[in-house]
This record gives sequence, C-alpha cells and structure tokens, in this order.
Amino acid sequence: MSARPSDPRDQAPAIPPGWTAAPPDYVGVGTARSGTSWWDALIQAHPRVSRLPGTPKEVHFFDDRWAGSPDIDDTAYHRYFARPKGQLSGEWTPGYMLDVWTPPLLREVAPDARLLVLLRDPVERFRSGRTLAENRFTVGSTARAAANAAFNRGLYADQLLRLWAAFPREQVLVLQYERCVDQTAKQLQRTYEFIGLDPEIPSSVDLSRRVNESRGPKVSLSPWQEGQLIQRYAPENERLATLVPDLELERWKLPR
Amino acid sequence: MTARAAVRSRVRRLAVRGSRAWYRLRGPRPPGPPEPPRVPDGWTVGPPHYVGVGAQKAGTSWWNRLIGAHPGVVGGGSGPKELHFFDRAWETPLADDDVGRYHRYFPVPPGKVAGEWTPGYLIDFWTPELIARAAPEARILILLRDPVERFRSGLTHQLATSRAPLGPRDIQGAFQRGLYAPQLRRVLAAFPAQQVWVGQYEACRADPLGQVARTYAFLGLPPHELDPWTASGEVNPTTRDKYQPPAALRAALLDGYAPDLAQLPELCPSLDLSLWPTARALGLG
Repeated sequence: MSARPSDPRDQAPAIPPGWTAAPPDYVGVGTARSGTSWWDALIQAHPRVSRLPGTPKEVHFFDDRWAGSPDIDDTAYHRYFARPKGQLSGEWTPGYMLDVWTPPLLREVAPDARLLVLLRDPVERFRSGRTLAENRFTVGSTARAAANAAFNRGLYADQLLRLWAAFPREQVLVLQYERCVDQTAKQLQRTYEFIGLDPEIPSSVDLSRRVNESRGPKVSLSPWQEGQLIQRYAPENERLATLVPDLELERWKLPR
Repeated sequence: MTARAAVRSRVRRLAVRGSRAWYRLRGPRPPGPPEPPRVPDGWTVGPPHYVGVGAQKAGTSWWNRLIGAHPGVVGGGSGPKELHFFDRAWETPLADDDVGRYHRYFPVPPGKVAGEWTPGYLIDFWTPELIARAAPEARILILLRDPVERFRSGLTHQLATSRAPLGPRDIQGAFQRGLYAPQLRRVLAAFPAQQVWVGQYEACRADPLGQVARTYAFLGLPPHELDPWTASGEVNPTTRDKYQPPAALRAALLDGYAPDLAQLPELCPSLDLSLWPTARALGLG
C-alpha cells in the first residue's frame, strides 16, 4: 500500500486576484454514500458561498497525514478556501470522520470551522457503496476486507464520539439523509443557519436538483445479507440514538 | 533462561524469520480452509469443542498451543490453528452441508476434544452467528490486549511480512481491529455470556500457569500441570524492531480508543482494564 502519488499541497489551485485564502467556514466530515455531494451542492448554490475554481468538493487533505502534525501547515489547507471578500467557503470529505488521525489535525488547522455530518441508514449506505472500489486501498482488497471496511463505516456512534473529542459538540451539525430527502427546505435552512448564512433559501437554489444520484451499480444484497446487516447494526444504531436525540431511528431499517 | 531454553528460543526465532521470508516471496495464502484431515479408525467427527475467535496479535497462537498441550485435547497444538472456515461466508452463505464439512476438521478419539482458533472471526461481522449455527455448544475463547499495543504489534507484523510501506488504509484498518466493543457485542449476541471466555494477553503473560488453569477449567478439562517453559514460550516472537507510531498518531489513538474502552466494563465485567496502559492513561483502568 503506497501513499497517494502527489502531495495535496502541490495541488492547491491558484488564487485569482482579489480572492484571499482563509480557513474553511464549513467542513463536511461524514459519511460516504449518504448524499453528501447533493447536500454540498445545495450549500454551494447559495450566492454567499464560493468555491475556488479547482478546489474539489472532497479535498482529502488529511488522508496521507496520519504520520502526524510536523508538516501540517495552516496556509496549505487554507489556500483551498480562497474566496472573494464577504463570501463563505468549505469542503466535504466524507472520510474525515472515519480516519482516527483526522479530527485532531482538522482542529489544528481549522479550529473554528462548522462541521457537518450527514448520516444515512447504514444498511442503505452499505448497499449504495461501491464496496470494492470504495475500499480499493484496503489491505488485500479481498471481498472479505471490503465487506468489513464497508460495514465499519456504518458504525457511526464511535466516529461521532471521536469527532466530539476534538471539537465541541455545538460545532457539529448531525443531519439525517432520510429527513433531508423528506424535508429538504427545512433541513437546508438548518444547515445554512448553522454555517453562518441567512436561513432563508434564495430563489436561485433549486431544491429539486439531485447530484451524484445512484450512479453505478449498487451492491446487491441477498435477503440473508440484508437481515444480517439489520441485526448487526441494531445495537450500534441504538447507541447512536442516545448520542443524537433528534435522530429519527424509525426511518431506518430495524429488526422485526 | 537455561542454556537449552536459550538455544530452543533462538531456533524458534530463526524458524519464524525463515517462514516470514518465505511468506514475503510467496504472498498471502488463498482464503479459506485447507482440505479436512483423514479420520483415523475409531475416531469420530463432530462440532469443535472450542473455537477461539480473536483477537489478532493478542497471543492467540501461544494460547492455542497451551490448550493443545493438555492430554485431553487432540493435536498437541500441531494441527492447523486457524481454519478461516467462514472467511468467504459473506459472499457465499453457509449451506447445510457446510456445517457437516466444518465438523470434519475436528476428528477425535474417544474421550478427547478438539477445536480451532481463527483470530479474524472476531472482526468478520457475519461470523459469530455462523459459528453458533455450526457449533452451538462450542466454548468461545477471546484474548484481548491493550488496543494501542495490539495496533503496534499488528503493524510490526505487517512490516515484517510485506514489502509495501504503510499507508492510510493500513493505519485505519489496524486501528479498527482494536475497537473491541462492537466485536464483543456480536459474539455476545450469538452466544450466552457463560459460554464465552474473555482473557487478557497481559494477564496471561504475567501468570501463564494460573491463566492456563482457568482456561482448562472453562473448557471443562481436568487440571493438568504444564512445565513452566512450555507455558512461557513465545510462538510468534517479534523478529524486528517494533513499530512505533509517531507522537501525534499515538495521541490520536489514545483519544480514538477512549469511547470504545469506556464500553468494555459493562459488556465484559471480568476485564481488568488496569492491565492496559492505554486505559490507565485515560483514567479508565
């Protein structure tokens, strides 16, 4: 397993005249296959939010920085969030919440960022995952390793607790994908307000537009596999519900 | 250590180093179990008496050998320790004749018992329930170890057996294996608590004879005295410098394991967290 070929610091896009680098106002940190591209696009659609041309939705800045902080340079990360005066900027890398080394590093370079977590029924998240492709960096790349890695991504409670160890809880907004689908306007207003925008949704934002929706084949689950996932996730979801009281667990698949 | 013991220990280390060099050349073995053994005349097959399920890098080879050293246990520790029977069961669900096939790995003469210990069973979220289907009466053995020590040992082992440098997926994977609470929950959902023995590597190291006596009792075996050298011998000794996580990663691991360690006393009241430096550093021991 080798590190990613090039250092992300070399990839920070050029900053146009009149734009200035600054820490991100928001960072989405979780979780993969849960509608984060859609939600990020709705944030980006707000006229007060800018993204530097060349900065991707997922910066993956910390992926290879597990060895520690000596090379963490604030300005290297901040360059991705250059924006015109008065605008907000941010990114959403769904693996940040999972990787054990990332929350403390993120706190070092963006201590005031508002963090966003979008959670989805872990059974549906598993089904939606391109499990082998998504986990192609997993040791061995076997079907067994991929299934385990995909399953572990759905253990949300501990990931959230690790995040909360690095950031105050009030700096983290936990959204539920199923409610975002059902009550898009209401949940988007919450999101706007949380990251420091006027909660009113501008008329230019198209709430019906979907991004990155069910592209590529889903993982087909046999009834036995689906039953296994429901059973195995049940106690973990119950722990999550005690941590996030407004989570509507009944929207997720539960054991009969 | 006597001169003879020192020679034996050195020979063992050289043998391990040689087998690891061979492993590096050959690559990982294909998943899944070997062919079942021949059943000698007068022996019978059936479900295993015990199944060890974890954890990796927590002294399971050593402990499985000590179980095999009991005269009531078949194999003398020489049979395959890790069957990996359920490794592919997520993709290819267990069929009824697979249960019979599993039993064929455990031939015993009258009056003896057999078992296996595959440390990966604990990680595979589908496996505990399948073991309960294939061997509902089996005693389940789990050895745990300080999660940061387990992390270091796991990556040391990986560096010794692979030519590739460590990457982020290796680090996250090794971290994830030390999150014991969800793994224990899955075992305890499949087996009644009194059928599960959760030991600690550190307790076994400190008092091998005492802990092995407990293990024998848990397995329903009559007391048997081991000679102290057999009891203390390392099976998979470290043959290179131990991997040291950089300071920032070590701090992240400590915080990262805190929520998991906090769940363990309720799940498994017999655990003594004060044996684990990580738990002590977090004020949980």
